[in-house]
Amino acid sequence: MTAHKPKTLFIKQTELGKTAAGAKIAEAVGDYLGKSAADARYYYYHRKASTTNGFTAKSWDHVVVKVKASDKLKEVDIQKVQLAASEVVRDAKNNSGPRSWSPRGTSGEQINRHWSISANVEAKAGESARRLSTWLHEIGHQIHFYAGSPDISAMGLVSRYGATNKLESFAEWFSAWALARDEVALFNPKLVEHIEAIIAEAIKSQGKV
Amino acid sequence: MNTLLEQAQTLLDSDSLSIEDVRKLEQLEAQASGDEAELIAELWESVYALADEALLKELQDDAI
Repeated sequence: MTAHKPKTLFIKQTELGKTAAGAKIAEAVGDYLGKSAADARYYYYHRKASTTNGFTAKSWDHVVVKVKASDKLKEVDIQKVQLAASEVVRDAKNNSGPRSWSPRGTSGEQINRHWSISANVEAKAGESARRLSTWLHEIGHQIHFYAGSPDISAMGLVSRYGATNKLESFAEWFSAWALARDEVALFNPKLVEHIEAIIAEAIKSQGKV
Repeated sequence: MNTLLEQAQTLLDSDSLSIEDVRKLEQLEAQASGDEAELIAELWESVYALADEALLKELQDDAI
């Protein structure tokens, strides 16, 4: 965070779309990101405003987290958030998550995982708590980009969302590491070393490859 | 037969995305319903993470 200083935009759904509300914040967003008001819209517009929770891109130095005016971040119970993340990792270790599927390229092996860290955080700690885990996921992407996007998916699968590709694999493991490091160590101690080595690489990195 | 969600995740299991991939994801999302549609919708987060600058511009200009 100190090495590259990624910025965060907390934006309401109505402001993510091409709406008057979205246009109204363009100047303030532009000032924050160091862009013109005319260009700023490009950096927080989302064509799926109603379903997105957050997003970032490799060429950006910021992440976007969708919020509601009713969110109360101060009231988020961090212990509940950590317990929810721990449960996802523990259930991954025990292959006992609620969603079952047989991955492509296997001979019918059944995988059982939670959908994502954030989905379980929302279920167990509330919608405002999800903003925190979504933010960690998106920051995880930026760290991964700076480290050259290495593939750690062979070290295990924490969630079904993390099975999408190597980018989501790392972002999900990064959220898990940030919220439930001890549980990740129980899943695979080498994985903790690997995640921390990737973070160290990102800190040293001069840019995204 | 792969589910629509599996097809969508397979589409995104790549180092890069094309406009055609994004169009296919739109189609899969439109074909899906209920829980599966909601999960495919969440995968758009990964489209942004994977998109190169050219594709990102197309997305943000609603050109796809």
